[in-house]
Amino acid sequence: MRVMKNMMGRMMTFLMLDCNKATFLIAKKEITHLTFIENLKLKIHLLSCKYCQRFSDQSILITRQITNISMIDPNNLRLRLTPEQKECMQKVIDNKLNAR
Amino acid sequence: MNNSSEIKSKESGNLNPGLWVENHGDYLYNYAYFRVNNKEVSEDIVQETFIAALKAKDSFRGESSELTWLLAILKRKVIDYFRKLSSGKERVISDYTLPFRDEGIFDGHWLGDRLPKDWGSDADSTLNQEEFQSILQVCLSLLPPKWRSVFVMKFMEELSSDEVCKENECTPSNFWVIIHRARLKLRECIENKWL
Repeated sequence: MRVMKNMMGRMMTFLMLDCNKATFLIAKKEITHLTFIENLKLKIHLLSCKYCQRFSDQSILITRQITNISMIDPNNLRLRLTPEQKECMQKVIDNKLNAR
Repeated sequence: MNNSSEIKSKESGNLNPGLWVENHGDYLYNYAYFRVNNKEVSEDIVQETFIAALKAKDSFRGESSELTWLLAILKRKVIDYFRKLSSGKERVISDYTLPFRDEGIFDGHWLGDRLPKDWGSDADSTLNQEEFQSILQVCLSLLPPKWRSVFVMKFMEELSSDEVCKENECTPSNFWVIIHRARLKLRECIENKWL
């Protein structure tokens, strides 16, 4: 019985994560797959830590919104160059073209 | 006859530099802006892209569209911009303090005054998407240069982790430390501006 308890205790310590390490794995998970053990450790931690669960949900939201920002829809451009800026840019190109 | 016209169209390569600004200027400008978050820098990057494209004109094979080709050049310019930003004297870890206790039996647990708060469902609703995104953009630009560079290259340019490390001169373990801390700081910054 004592041996069993001892083993359980060791296994628990092995599987326990603190929030620092848990958030590290959450950040890692947004980029690559976690190993089986890492995943298990993280799942166990998230069951009992609502703050890390929040961090995880918010991380997923942030990643998704960064992707949204990075995708530029040609039919819905948020910014425009002014006609003056455009003229100036094209002039530089034309000058280089004519210099050939 | 048919053959020669094919060759001709290949030679001219379907590039039309006289219309580059009109046809692609705005798109490239937006692409740059939503990464570097600075209008003047974006304008410079677009102009540099056109100049570099003129120089490399003969290498255009017509296998991709003109815009795809210009965009590839622009992407390189954006990465160069961040690489320069990142190679500054800035220390990798910066002076950001982690939101975790670093002693006692609760070592590694969240500090009481820096616990993640509930953002509610507002942050995730399409209605507030633009506001959330603009806060996110500001917070990204407030990250230490190297963290920002790593983050943009990884999540916006979607480079491989190896490539990101190469561009930013960081070791693989360094890379994960940066990603972790950048996430923590970014999250806190958004929370402070959003709630």
